[in-house]
Amino acid sequence: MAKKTYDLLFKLLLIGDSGVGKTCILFRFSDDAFTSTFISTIGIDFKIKTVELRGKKIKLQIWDTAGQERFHTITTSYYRGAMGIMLVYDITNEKSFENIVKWLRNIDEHANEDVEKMILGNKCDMDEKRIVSKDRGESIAREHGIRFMETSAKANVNIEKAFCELAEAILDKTSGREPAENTERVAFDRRGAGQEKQASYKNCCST
Amino acid sequence: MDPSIENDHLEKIRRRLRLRNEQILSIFESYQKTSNENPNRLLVLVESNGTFAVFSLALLQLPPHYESDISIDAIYCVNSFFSINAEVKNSMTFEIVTLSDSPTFHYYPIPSIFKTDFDSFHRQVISAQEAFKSRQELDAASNSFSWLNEYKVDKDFIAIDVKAANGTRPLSKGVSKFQEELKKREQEYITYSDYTFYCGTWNVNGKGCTEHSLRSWLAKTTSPPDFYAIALQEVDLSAKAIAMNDSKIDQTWIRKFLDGLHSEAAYEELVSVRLVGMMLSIFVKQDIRQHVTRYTVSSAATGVFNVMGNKGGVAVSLTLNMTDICFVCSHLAAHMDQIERRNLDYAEIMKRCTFDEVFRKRTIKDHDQIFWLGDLNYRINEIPGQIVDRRDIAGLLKNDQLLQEMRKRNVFNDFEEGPITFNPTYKYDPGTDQYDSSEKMRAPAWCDRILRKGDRIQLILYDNVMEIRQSDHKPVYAVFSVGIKTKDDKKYKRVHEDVLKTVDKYENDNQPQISVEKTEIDFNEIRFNERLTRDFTIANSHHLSANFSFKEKEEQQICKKWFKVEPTTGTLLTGDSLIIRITFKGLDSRNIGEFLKIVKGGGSVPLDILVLHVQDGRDIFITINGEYIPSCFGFDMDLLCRTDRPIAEYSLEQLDELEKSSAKCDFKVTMPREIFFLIDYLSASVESMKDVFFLDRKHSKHHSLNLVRDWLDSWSRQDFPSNKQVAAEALLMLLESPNQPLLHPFEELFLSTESFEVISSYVLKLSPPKRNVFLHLCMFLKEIESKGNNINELAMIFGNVIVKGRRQVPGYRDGRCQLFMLRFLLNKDVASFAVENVQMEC
Repeated sequence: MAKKTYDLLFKLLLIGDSGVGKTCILFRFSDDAFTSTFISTIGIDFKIKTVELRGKKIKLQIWDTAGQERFHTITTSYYRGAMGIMLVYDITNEKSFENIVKWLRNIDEHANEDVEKMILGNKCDMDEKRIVSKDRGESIAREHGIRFMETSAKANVNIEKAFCELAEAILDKTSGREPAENTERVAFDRRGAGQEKQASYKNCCST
Repeated sequence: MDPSIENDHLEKIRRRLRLRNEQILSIFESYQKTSNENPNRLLVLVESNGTFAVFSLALLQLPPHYESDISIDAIYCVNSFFSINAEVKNSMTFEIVTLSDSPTFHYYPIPSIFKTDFDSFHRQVISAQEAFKSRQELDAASNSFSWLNEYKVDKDFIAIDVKAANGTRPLSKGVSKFQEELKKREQEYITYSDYTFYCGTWNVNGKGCTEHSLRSWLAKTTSPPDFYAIALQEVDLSAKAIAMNDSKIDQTWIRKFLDGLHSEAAYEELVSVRLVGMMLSIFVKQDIRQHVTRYTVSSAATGVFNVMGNKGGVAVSLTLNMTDICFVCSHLAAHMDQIERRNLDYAEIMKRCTFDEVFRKRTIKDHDQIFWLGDLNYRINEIPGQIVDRRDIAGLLKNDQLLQEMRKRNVFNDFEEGPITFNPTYKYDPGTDQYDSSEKMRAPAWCDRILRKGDRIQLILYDNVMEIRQSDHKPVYAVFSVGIKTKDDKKYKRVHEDVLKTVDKYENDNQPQISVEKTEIDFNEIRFNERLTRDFTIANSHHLSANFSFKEKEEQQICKKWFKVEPTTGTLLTGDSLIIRITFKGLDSRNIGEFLKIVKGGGSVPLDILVLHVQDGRDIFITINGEYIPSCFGFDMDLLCRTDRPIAEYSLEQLDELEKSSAKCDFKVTMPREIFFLIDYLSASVESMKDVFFLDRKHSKHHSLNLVRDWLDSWSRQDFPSNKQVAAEALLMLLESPNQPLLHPFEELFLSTESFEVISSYVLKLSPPKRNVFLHLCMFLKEIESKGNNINELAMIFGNVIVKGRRQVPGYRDGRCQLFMLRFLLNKDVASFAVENVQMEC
């Protein structure tokens, strides 16, 4: 029987404009539930969720931040400890997409240099109100070399997948950092990790 | 109550109860009496598709400000068992009964913010029940309270650890919680499969095996057993073996065993253990060998001095699938009268046989199932005068020492033995089935026994083997069908995943939580030199106690320097609330400049944001707002000269605009009116100018300073509202409070130059308002000097204020500012220089 509930602890952060659905994304991921009433997050909340990736139990501690403009200075002080950051915009809100650049700058200034980033275009269930095309999301992500996904907390699209992919990216780095006898071995390990990728999603994302 | 406010409360309740199609029919306010408090309860009658329920809501505050102030205390289905007893109303209480055998809930009505009185609430509940009943008669199936299931989440489903909540034990976290949950749900992934265990024991009387085959003892079952546990005693009785506590396995016996096992299956020896005469061997069917995941051996000697191995026990501990099993072979003390010694030997073996594991020592009792085999040496008590028929087994068993001791619970507690249907196994003349015919004429006894302890063990056979005759004991054997716990991997994986979720949920639900009355604190209007306080309540309505603290932000401060927060840390037990006080300490001439930099431009920039941190929980941001009402204090002389109306009539935005449009010619006056008013007032009483300016600035906290402030800010035509000491202090504050000192940007130069000419030339380079103020001041100071004031003291007071300003820059020593002032004031040409260069008109 396992002696530990988890093998690794990853700290993730959700940022983005107010109202893009950060809290809903977290709520969907942690409680598999959705509520459409908007309650602005006035502070920093966190939830725990343990996932299994490549046979490792990974405990994700996910911090949900207040998106309101006036809190930006304060919320940036929470970036430092994060190993992964989800940058969320709302596909029905042009401004929230434009601000992605600003948020990215914020990350550059305040987060760890090697933080894993991912851009999420949320509310993709509301296609009739869509203003930001998927292409634009993809291209800004490509431009900055960041992962991208369109999600819907309401329709439960890509939520689990997004977190698992981000966690996996961090796992890649973490295992790369493990002491190895020689560089060849590291290279081999990483190749191995890549091959495993497809199968392990199933592992984590099947509920 | 204002209907809109009532609607607002209703809306909060609707949201909290997540009502969609359900209707709130009535709300009634009451309270309950509990052991040490009288909590408020809102009773809410809700209808959903023809079924009704009364919600008893607990409130953090009344009226509720936030949804989170409301929690569900209880839900009563208005079914036919429900009754609301109005008779007791007169004694100011009413009862709610939900089922005839369930407790009665007492509520006490209180005057309500909601308009309902008890009678109308009561009427509505009764008519709801009538409606329910008549509907039920029509169609019983349609009356479903299933809509209430959703609320179970609120009460039952939250993984509340009651003991942690009431403080009787710490919250279990992480690993232990995980194990706890996994164990709790064991039944879901455990299946039991039956294994056949053969246990045999034989005291061989110190002789090697002379039997042709042991098959007549070992191969007793039709189908081959899965496990063999074979125990021998007196394998070697030599003094040498005893002295050496010999533990070498006698392989001839092992070969003999293997040869005698059931022939229809392939067995392998799992492990054997020996201590002098006692030997225990475990054989396992080859095809189930892999299910044994662990085995260890142990032994305990209880012979002479409790160290010699002529008596004692050997044991094997093993795990088969998920069941921990222990086999013990023991040889206890001999002789008819040694009952207690035998009991003690048992206790010693139980205590001293331990199996080393990574984190702990496992003892015999730490197993799911225990099989105890051996020559236990208990005899049959002989009752004097009673002639015993040796064939009367039932009669003999009545006097069996072991059964008697077990009944008295002196030994083998909770062990069981199968019914004995065979003859006593001791003592025979070797080679025969005859009881001892030697001189000793030992009485026959069931020395050799097989006991077991544990669940799911079924005895199939228990017998001795008469035809094996080489020893003075007959071998005994027992066959059991044993239910072994097996993990269903698929089910286990699912439960495991589920448990992870449960533990995550448990952890999420058990975050300490604090609710905050409001997250925006508004000081409304903030003025120079005024102190204000604001209070707000934080409360813990969660089931765990919560430690909180206001987090330090940049510069290790929890708030800006003009605020104070009290208390900054604390603990809130469940149900506690606490008032947090935020004090605006007031702005003075030393901090107003810095403050203005923050509020500049007005707008909706918060004055500060506090971070209320709940230990192991979330952070709550508390925004402090307030509107600064501008005053002349803190503004630069240049700006004050650009105003064309009293500063009180400007907004911060307008002043900001004024400052930015710094074209040179737009000064409306040569020197700020505020300065002029003060100097003018002071000059009027110049005859008595002694004791007006003080080095210690003792009037800086004077109560009438704010009157002077308002007088200046409104360009008042009223008489000066205070005395000249306060006017003098106001003048100093006015000069001191801007971000830059009056003599900026030449302050450094003035301090290091002795030449009056050079200084004068730079004075002329000051901005006109600054230059005019400076020269006016010089003239004023010369004037009051002539009335007997000490010029040294004046130079020190003003030097600090106009050269250094409010800055505490190291290296600006007081003396140097004073020296500069003196140098300038005492120069013979200063009066004419001032008169010549002061600008009288704009």
